[in-house]
Amino acid sequence: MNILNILTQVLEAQATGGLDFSNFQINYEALSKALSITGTGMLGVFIITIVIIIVVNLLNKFTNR
Amino acid sequence: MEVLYQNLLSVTPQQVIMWVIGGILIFLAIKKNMEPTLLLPMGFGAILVNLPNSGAKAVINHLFNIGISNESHELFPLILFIGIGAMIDFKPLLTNPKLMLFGAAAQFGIFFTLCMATLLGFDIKDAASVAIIGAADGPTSIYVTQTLGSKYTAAIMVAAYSYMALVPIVQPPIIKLCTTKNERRIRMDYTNKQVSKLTEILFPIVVTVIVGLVAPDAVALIGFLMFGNLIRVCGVLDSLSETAQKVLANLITIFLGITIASRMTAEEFLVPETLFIMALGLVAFIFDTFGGVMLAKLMNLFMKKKINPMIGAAGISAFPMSARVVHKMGLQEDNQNFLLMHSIGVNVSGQIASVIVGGLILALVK
Repeated sequence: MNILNILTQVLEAQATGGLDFSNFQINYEALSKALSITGTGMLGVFIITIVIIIVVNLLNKFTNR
Repeated sequence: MEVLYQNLLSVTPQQVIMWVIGGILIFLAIKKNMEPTLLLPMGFGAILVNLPNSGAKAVINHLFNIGISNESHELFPLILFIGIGAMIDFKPLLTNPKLMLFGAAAQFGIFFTLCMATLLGFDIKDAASVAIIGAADGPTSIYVTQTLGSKYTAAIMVAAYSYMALVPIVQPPIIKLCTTKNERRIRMDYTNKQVSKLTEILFPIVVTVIVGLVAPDAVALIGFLMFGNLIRVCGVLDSLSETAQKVLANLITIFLGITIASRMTAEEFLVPETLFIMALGLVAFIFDTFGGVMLAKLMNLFMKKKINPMIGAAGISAFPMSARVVHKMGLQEDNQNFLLMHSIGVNVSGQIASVIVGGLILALVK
């Protein structure tokens, strides 16, 4: 059971008649994938941004002559 | 006689709730002026598709299939990007390109939300779709959500457009929480540097090529955005530029809003996940703001000429609301502190960065 299920149960508590936290577990596999995407994604966006900054600086330098 | 009330009896309480939600969206659009171009069609569409045995459903579903679905290659949001590109003036960014770093940093909320959504139990594709609300950019959100095949398109759209409209309410407390009064009073000089026409013309082409080479999944998004901008800056297509900015953008916006409503049926929308998506969308906006401000504070540790960290918050691509918020906050702290040009530069860089992140997420998640 993940947090979403638990929160869903909280919302449906009246209908279900109670909550069950007994088999709560975090999906470490999915979380580790998300963290890996976060690392690669942030690195990727900064690399692309820095390349664009360098190119724009070069464009400014050469086209303003 | 039976024919007249038979349909009336088949109204379900869930449908009535959806009428109320549609009404609220229309109210917010008209009375509070919150993203009216999209919230109004979405609100009306929500009512339209939740009438029992609605004859409009088939038409709206058809529009969805030809304009938004994965099979249509997300035609509407991409065409809308031509109009958005034609509206954006990149000059404030081109005069000070390092402002782009804040646009990149202000995408942090997307990734933070991705982790949070995963922790909440959303599968990775749905989590990425929810996280992209933090792009603060409707067309990118639709594009990513549809490409990843998420079933939460409507909730994500409602969250994305609502929070974009709520930027003036969401951002100031976060900015204040992350900065000191002295930091908010930092003045930044603005020198009106000239940008050559050639730079303006080469910029959209160069950005498309760079992004395309590194993140090919973002090419459609960045390509259409930059194509629109090229039409604007080339100087020989004024009539096309005007059409893209006004007629094309308006036409697509009308269809986009009402078409998204095809996913606002009671069965799809009234699920607990909708509430979590709304909450996670807020988290994304908060941490976007946090990311941008924190990078500015970090840079200030090493720079002689200090940056007002508030401009980092404008890195979310909610254009131009976010830039205005920062400018207004600067004036509140010091009535001679004019941050508008800096924050506009950061704001348009956020537009580019959010599209890049959309492409990166597609590449990493698919």
